[in-house]
Amino acid sequence: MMREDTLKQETGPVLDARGVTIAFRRHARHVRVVRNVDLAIEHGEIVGLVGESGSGKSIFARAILGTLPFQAKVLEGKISFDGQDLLRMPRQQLQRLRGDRIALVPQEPMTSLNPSLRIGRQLTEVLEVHRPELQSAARVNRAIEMLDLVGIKFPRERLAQYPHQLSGGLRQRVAIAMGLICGRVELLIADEPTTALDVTIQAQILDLFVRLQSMQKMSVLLITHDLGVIAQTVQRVAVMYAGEIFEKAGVQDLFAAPLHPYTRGLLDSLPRAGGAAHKSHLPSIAGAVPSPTETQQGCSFADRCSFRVEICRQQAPELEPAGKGRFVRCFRWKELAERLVRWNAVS
Amino acid sequence: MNTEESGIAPAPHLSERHWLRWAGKNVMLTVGLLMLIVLILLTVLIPIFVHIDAFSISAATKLQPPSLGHLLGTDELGRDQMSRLVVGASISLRIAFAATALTAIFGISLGMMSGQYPVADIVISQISDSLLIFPGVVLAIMILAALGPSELNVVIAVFVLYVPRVIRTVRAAVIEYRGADFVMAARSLGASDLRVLSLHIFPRAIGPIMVQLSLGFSSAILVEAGLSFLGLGAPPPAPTWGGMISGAREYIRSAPWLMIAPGAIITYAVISLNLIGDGLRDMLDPRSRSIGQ
Amino acid sequence: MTVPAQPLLQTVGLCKRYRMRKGGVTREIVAVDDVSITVASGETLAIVGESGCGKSTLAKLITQLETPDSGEIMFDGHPIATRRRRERLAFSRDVQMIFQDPYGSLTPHFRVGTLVAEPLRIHRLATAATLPQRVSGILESVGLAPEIASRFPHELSGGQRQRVSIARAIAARPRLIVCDEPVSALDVSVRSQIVNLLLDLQRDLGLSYLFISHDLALVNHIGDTICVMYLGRIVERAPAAEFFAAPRHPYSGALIASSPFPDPRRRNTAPAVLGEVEAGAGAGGCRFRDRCPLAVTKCAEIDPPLREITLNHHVACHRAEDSVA
Repeated sequence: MMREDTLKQETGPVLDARGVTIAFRRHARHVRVVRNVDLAIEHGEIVGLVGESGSGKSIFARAILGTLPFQAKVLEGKISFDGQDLLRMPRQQLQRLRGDRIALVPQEPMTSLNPSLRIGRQLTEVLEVHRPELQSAARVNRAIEMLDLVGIKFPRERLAQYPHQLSGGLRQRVAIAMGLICGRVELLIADEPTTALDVTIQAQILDLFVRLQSMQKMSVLLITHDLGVIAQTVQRVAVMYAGEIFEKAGVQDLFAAPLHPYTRGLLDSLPRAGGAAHKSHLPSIAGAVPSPTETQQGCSFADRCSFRVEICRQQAPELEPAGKGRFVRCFRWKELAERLVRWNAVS
Repeated sequence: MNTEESGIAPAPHLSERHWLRWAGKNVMLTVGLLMLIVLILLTVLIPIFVHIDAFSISAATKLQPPSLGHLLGTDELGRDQMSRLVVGASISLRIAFAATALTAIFGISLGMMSGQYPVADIVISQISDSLLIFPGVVLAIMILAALGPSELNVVIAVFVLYVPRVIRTVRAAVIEYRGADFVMAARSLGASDLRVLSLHIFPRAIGPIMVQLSLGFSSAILVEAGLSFLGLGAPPPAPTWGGMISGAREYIRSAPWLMIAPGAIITYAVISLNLIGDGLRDMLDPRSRSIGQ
Repeated sequence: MTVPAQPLLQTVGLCKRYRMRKGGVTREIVAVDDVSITVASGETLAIVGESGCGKSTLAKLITQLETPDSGEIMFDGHPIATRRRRERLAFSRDVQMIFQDPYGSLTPHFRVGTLVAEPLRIHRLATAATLPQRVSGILESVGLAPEIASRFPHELSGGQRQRVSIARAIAARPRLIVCDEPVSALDVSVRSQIVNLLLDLQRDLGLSYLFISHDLALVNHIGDTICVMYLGRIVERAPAAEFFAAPRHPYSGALIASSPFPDPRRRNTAPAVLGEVEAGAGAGGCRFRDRCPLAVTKCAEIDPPLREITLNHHVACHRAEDSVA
């Protein structure tokens, strides 16, 4: 499936996060879980945010939505949505945006769906809040329309069902329908939307995202740890590690020529046809993901990086531009990129 | 060699500050424990340092208000109130402790069997649930009426009252953990049922069990006091707290100290144990743990 | 590859049913239906399938955590279903299991040393004097420093915990280890470490693996034989290379096509299969027919048996000859 070029209906990105730093209060100390993150999402674009545990990706998503847990605090930064700063917006205004123009599809559909309410009721409830001008019959019709849009068969019958009567895949579709029902969504944030689903259902849901995105002309922020999902779905990628962005690039560039040693290590470690020989060792990254409480000088990946040098332990690298919409946070990226080019040319 | 490179964080150092902070977070539990310890210490230490005589009758010193010679006054038979209270304390604590110990032993073992073996479950649950139907006090009175008043029978009554609750708690814990991964792992290693129950499941159930037992202990004191009040507890001249309150009813105007002291100490004991029980329950509540470990 | 005369593990017609109550209705679900597999010594048999396919139940049956309703499990040619406790205990030495959740599968109040020592204690394989040394040795063989023995599971990272799990599993020198999604719950950057460890141990200790996973790329890398399960049945079984080159069952093809391939140049054009797994589907016929693009009338009438289509390649599909990916 060919991806459309990014659509720019208006000038400026739909979401523009600058220098966002978020910390948790723990025993009178601040533990930084998101550090100086810059991320811009253009209109009509699917952006992937990939990271492991402790990368801060989910906290960042919650900051956009304004649903941070009470111990979390935004220390610095700005998140502009269509020009307005979400972080400094009054609560009521933010609540009006949520569900209407910014939607969330969470990992566990059971937590976003109320188990004691019927599906139909939950769908129409969203409309009651954000589109009060609609009459009851119109709301029901819209709910049916949405269930149909997300590929649920017999939508009218489904309205009367409870979440526990549906399978995981169907529940996730309902969660997506709830997110989009107001029809004015400009940004859909999907946080590990398919992690809990079977692989064949995952493929269906991802396909649904892509189709909806082009039909509704909305932007999608897809958060996941799965590089395969990223490769199959998004247009641009940001790689997060220990609260920082390590690399940003278009998806083709990232997979063809990853610049950051972490990205490279991750991609190399994936078992792949044509990769390491059957039953032989897979390339691996030593060590483990650092916990946010372990603050260290220098690059947060230095302990595990096979390319580290002196400076990596002493100073923290900045996010540098690396040509055609690419950014990397590594002192040695240029040198490593050249090596990669030479190696590719030889093999 | 496939080795882990990142080092292991040093084991946490338990300093005094750590304990103080713990005490600060678990205020109820700390206060309850301190109160109980004080009570036990007083019960044990006072007889060592002060001459205790709970039984000597003396018409001359009857119904005296608190004074230096008799710190808590004397009752209608001239007996020293404080001595009676201290001996009463040891009676109450003895009974409560014995009843709780019995409850623990039988409750835990029966509860484990009940949770693990369906056949045992049917039998044990039936009996235990039918005991729970009776309102506690009524059941206690019935038992004592049948067996006759004595310290031992009070222990038995409290035991019968409380063991169903402990059985239920333990059974619930066993059922909850039966399907846990680590339990299945232990079983697949070849661990016997006994091993799985005692080493793997029981330690996880200790929390709720302790809560039940501490609340049971406090109930034991109350039940004992109630039974003694009704004349069904340890027979006179044993100076039970409940018996003291019952005897003090007549003199509530003329010698209020006779009722205040035993009432106050029963209240104190029950509060301390309830604080322990509630404090334990809060400590175990996962929601109160810090987020973002 | 020559097949050894006697397989290490063999199951014949294994069946297990459960009664489930859902929404006031009691239904009988056949979790494992007529499953026959063999694992040779030193081989890795990979089981793939989605939720409801029965792979977890199969794992429990093989490790004696559940008893089958019918069918046999044979180890080294001997049936394991025996009343004698001693024999069952001996069998549990030979077959061990590693679980998906690295935290949940380690008893939280046991130190690492105690966890690893437990199989040694249960099977009396070491004395109190030799135990600490044995434990250290085992920890080293899974790439952990011996000092870690005094730690509790919650002090360790996910990868370390899984290594402890593996250490515990190999302590009694088993011959077969059932790995139930051993790396799915780990961080991506740590997974290949554990996979490599499992490969090393297989080579060094002559282990066989029954490897359950939904990650087809991983299974392709480490599996010798692939077995696909759907709603309790085996629908395809083939040597790995042949399976991935030319799967014969439509569901296998769908699984392979649905797996998100980490290369944006090769994007799936459309989801390979529609609909969802529905327990109780296909009664009296092929269970997959409601979702199958190749279904014909025959599929609704007769449940296709598992038959050998080429050497060592078995498929349960009426139209296997037509299905060439």
